[in-house]
Amino acid sequence: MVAKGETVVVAGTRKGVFVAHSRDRRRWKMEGPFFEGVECYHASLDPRDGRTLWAAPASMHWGPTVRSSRDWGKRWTKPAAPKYPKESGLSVSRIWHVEPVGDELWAGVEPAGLFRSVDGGKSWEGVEGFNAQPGRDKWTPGGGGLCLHTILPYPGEPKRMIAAASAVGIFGTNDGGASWRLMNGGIQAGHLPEGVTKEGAAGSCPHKIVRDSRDPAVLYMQNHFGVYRRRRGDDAWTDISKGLPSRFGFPMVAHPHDGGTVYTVPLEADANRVTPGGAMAVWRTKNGGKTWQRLAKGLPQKGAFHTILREGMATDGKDPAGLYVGTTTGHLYASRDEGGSWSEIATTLPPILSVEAGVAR
Amino acid sequence: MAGVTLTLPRSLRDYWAGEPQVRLDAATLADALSEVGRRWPGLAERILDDRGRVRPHIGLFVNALPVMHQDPREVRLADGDVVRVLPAVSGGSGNGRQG
Repeated sequence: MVAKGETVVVAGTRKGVFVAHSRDRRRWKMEGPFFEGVECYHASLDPRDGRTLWAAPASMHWGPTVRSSRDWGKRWTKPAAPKYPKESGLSVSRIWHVEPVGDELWAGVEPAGLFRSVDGGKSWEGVEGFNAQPGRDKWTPGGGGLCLHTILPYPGEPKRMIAAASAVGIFGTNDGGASWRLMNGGIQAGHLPEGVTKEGAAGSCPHKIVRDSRDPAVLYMQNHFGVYRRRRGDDAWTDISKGLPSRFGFPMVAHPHDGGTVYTVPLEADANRVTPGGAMAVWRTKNGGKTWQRLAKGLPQKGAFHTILREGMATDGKDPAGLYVGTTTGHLYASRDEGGSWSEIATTLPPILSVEAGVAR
Repeated sequence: MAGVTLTLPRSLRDYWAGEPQVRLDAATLADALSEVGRRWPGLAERILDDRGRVRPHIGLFVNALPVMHQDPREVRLADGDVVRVLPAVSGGSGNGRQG
């Protein structure tokens, strides 16, 4: 059983959800699996109460649902699921991200869409301003499917939000989701004849976006075609990939306290989605992307051909910040010193699809 | 209306905690699934997708006849029919999709 004050790491895997917990972030205990045999693209600890676990298991047979538990996985709520209206011709096949937004809960789904719940996940309604956008019939999926995977509320401004879908782009709303604009300006696009995406046009492939922890007006993005930064008011993204071993990767995490500090895990290339040279490393910038530092102490440097997916890295929000990275080979790595050194929580889990962390209250 | 028996698999216990067989009155398969949804909210959506189509990895049988590829509204039921909902044989691909 998880105790108050413990650090909690929640891993969604191809075969259920696992919960690691620790008093000192050195010795870990593991709970689970929950939803045995069922893939779970996202699972998390609700930061609002430090007690509710959220999970989005997607049964191959019975489809995707959202579940929650307030007793560390002993009992889970009855399944509920976002559902497209029949006349849309769409059907939710996976839930990629569940995000607490104020008193509400939002979900990003495949095919790309947004849903919100005002009753703690018991029922869901579509964000029609997003889901019924003109032009969505021309949206094309990335390798993971036409998935909406990023939901970023704006601290202190409840009507402002960023959402991102692959391979469509980055969307912003200033009116609580009634209308959205595409924010794809200036992003490399090797899959398009023009080679770069335009503001307002679809076709970019964001993999993960985070906000700067000190200045929420600044966004950082790991895109299919590079790492980027953008400030509120800009009409294009700024490339900050220089200094990284590769432009390709999936996850991105902002340091919970230090502005300008974000982490990513570059992979060799989109044609070879493994850690470069079989050496596992997390990369960090502390100056908004001007320079990057390789962090690999304690991580395997030979034969580690890891793939880390877009939800595969998280911070626990503590000071010093803990960082956690999960791989599709079932390795779950932890750092209790902001990435300076690493150790293993687990090495034989099922393929890890998501990692989230927090503190139990 | 016909009196039919519906059998559900154990893997749907999260929705339905009753006997493995339930008695329903229904003229069509769509009626039967609608009654399932009325009695156990959320259960019908596990069998049908958002468009009202049978989910791809489910077997639906009336007696021994597979009906999962038919429109549920057009599957007529008769007194004594047994409707079976079964998880299909699926998987094995490893699902190499990138997350």
